[in-house]
Amino acid sequence: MSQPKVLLLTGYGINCEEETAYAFQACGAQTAIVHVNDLIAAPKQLSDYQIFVVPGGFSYGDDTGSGNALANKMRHTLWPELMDFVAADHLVLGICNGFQVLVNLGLLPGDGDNSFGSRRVALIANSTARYECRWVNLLVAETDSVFLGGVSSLSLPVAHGEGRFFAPPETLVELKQRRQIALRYVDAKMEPAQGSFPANPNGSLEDIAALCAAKGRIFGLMPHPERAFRLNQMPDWPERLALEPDSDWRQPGSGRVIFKNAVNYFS
Amino acid sequence: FGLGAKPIINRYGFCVADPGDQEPLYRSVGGQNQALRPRRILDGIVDGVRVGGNCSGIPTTQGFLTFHPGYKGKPLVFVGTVGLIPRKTKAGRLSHEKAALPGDFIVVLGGRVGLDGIHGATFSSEALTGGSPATAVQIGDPITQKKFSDAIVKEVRQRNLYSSITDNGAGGISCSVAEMARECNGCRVDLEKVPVKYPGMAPWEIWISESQERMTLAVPPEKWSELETLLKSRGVEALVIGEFTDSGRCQVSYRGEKIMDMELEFLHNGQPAKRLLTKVRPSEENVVSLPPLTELPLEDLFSKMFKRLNLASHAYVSTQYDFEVQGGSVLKPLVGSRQIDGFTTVVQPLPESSKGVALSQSLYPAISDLDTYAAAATAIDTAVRNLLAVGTPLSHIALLDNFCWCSSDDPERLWQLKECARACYETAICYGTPFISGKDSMYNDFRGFDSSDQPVTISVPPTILISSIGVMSDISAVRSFAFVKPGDLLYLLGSGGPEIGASEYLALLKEEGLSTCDAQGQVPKFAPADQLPLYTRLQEWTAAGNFRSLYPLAQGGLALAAGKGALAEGLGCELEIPAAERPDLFLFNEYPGRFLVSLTPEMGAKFEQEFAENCFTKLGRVRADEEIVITQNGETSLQTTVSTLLDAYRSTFAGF
Repeated sequence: MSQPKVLLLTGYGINCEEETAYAFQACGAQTAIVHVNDLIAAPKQLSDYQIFVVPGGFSYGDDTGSGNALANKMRHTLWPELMDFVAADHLVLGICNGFQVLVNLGLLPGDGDNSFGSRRVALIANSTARYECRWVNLLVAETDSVFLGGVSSLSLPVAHGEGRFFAPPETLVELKQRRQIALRYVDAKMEPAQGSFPANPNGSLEDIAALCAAKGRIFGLMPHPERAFRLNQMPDWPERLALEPDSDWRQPGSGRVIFKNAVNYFS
Repeated sequence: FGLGAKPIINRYGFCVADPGDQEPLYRSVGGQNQALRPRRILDGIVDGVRVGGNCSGIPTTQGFLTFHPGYKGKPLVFVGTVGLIPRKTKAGRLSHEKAALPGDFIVVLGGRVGLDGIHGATFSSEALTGGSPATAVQIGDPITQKKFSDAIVKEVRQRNLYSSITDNGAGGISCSVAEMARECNGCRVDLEKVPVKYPGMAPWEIWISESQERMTLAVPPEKWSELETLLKSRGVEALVIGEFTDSGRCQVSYRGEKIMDMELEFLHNGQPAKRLLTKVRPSEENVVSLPPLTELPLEDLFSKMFKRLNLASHAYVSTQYDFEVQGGSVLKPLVGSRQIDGFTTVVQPLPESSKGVALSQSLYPAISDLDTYAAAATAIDTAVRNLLAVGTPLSHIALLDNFCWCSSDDPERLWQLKECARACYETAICYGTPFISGKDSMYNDFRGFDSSDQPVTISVPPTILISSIGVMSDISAVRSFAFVKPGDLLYLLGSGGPEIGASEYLALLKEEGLSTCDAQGQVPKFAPADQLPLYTRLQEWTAAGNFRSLYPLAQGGLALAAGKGALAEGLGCELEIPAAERPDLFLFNEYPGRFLVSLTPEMGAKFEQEFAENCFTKLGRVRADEEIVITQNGETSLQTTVSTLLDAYRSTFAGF
């Protein structure tokens, strides 16, 4: 197989599906944006795809906790199909609100190899008690994430009110042993943020920004790689242009590699 | 999306009083009915835009905060949205053309109608008193809107399921249905079919409620079933509440009982023109006396300028708004590694097209107190210059006006309004920048009492906000105001003058007790026509990418431009003030029509040659360290550092 098919969920306040679909397309995938109600009406269609994405947004307005309501809806309507999807050699990606959905759904971090369904960690209100839209630096942790192959660090924007990672101590130990911690917030010198704002924008435990499961095939992260897909989406682009007026805005931004890795997994 | 456009950018602007002002105000005597304090108002406004904007998935990139004591009684809140729509529909019709046809169903969709938002439109144009209705304010729910906006923009529009569409704003369905009825010359509505939040609403309340997140569509009967099924599957409630007709009348009933039956012509054009009188407001003799320079602590004043409410960093607001969603933000609200507030943002709406949309705005309420003509002309010039500075050509700039006035029955206030409108007309004609939209709000006055029961009236300063939008063909022309390389040359482009009337500097001198003069001073006078040769030459240079940075001077003058240019990347600068200038006036005057630019040393000779016919001043260069050194006749006038200024700049709103 050379060109994987990507299903991106939409509806009920999801709002990053178009730019995320574009990122996959530009890396050579076929994409379909599917309304959650249409997927529920015909759940078997999930098996036509190799990559399942829950994009960022405000599903159900976050009114019952970020990602909670959509996760419940999916658990009660799509669970068998999701389990079949994960059991196959497929990829799942959750970005921001999508990560919150995967966590509430128990797809991340999971209960161990190929066992899912319990909510073991949480993404709670930011330590600043407010929504934060800002760029952060990230260091790839000791991980097997398929999406982060060959990557050591990233610069991506976050935009969320509830991104503070929390887990009980025993779960944290297990996550490390199983190499499930994927990204950590670092400062401008790429040193650990150690919980300090704004390098760690939400107060996440141990600066954790992303998790993976199922040998790195399920990946969820708070930052938005689709918003760092091109060079001109990076925050230093105008100053870079001043120094290099001929630089091409179509060049890759920091986040493109995540989509490339996902697509290349099927080549 | 009154036309079915995709919302791609949100903008905001808040005019409030000093959030540190603790002096209470009451709407009634005896300490009753206390008005919210400025800090509480500011926090509430910031939160409202955060919830509404972020949940909608529309990037909120562009905005401003303006502080003035006149906004204590009634704050002004401006919000707006830019939409993107194909020029033509798939059926070949121009997208902005819409026409309800007789026989089309009147369909309302989205949220339900409640008692919230009744009299909202009239409330916003009335003085705020103890009797103002609490239900005038709408209760929003952005997710309801997001559900149907996705459905309309991404599915319904493509399937051509409606012949006309209007959003429900002021006046609710009474306005949207009656407006659309003009397209076919009639309508008939059964109010009992309108979905309501709860029973017990009177027919007239249903008719005028401004409850949010609702659209009105004209749907051909044969398309209704497809539309209904689609919307249902998207979790959107939609109902037929009547039909468009060609009866020439607006007919409304409730459970078979006639509520209203009126000629459409009378409904729209029946109100007789109101005759109002104006009276010239005499201008005062207005010369400020300034203390001698030797008595002024210039270095101290320089950093205090960066702490002023209107000039300090408002980043705590912009970082609460998602300016990155949709992935098109290329010149962001905060500039450089030090994240300094910008004046213009640029969005690239389509990832494969090099076109960019630039947004900015300007307002000078302090000048309005003296001269509303100058306030409008200066605001237009600044709003236009803000777009020129990021590489937008003058030929592709359009404007929007917001007049927020006070006690408009007063003939002198009306005369000020007339002068303001005249300035808008003359300046826009001169620049060739059309006004494509606008809105007004009159009677922004508060009448109440202070804590000792003395009557208090607070009116907003006559406020003319000019918003600007521009389209650039190639985003590679974008530049920020950040100094990027040591050794780069710094020039001031355009000519100024010594007038500092209504400036931030004069206000600072008064607050510091350094000027005891009561006068407000003379405001800068400038002729837009004189600016055109400079702007024409400048846009050739921005298109060619010849500048390294540009800062359009506004409030705070050259001092703020140079300081923020240095702060953005932490590179200091040295500036030589011309021998004939008084340093403080040269640094702080707010004359319009000017830019601070930086360029490579190699470009210097070419610049001086090509701009020879325009006025420019060679100022100095960018430094490799963090020192900011300002000299005159070779002697240091003041010296400070990037970190000193950065601390000052961030200190004012640090605890917010």
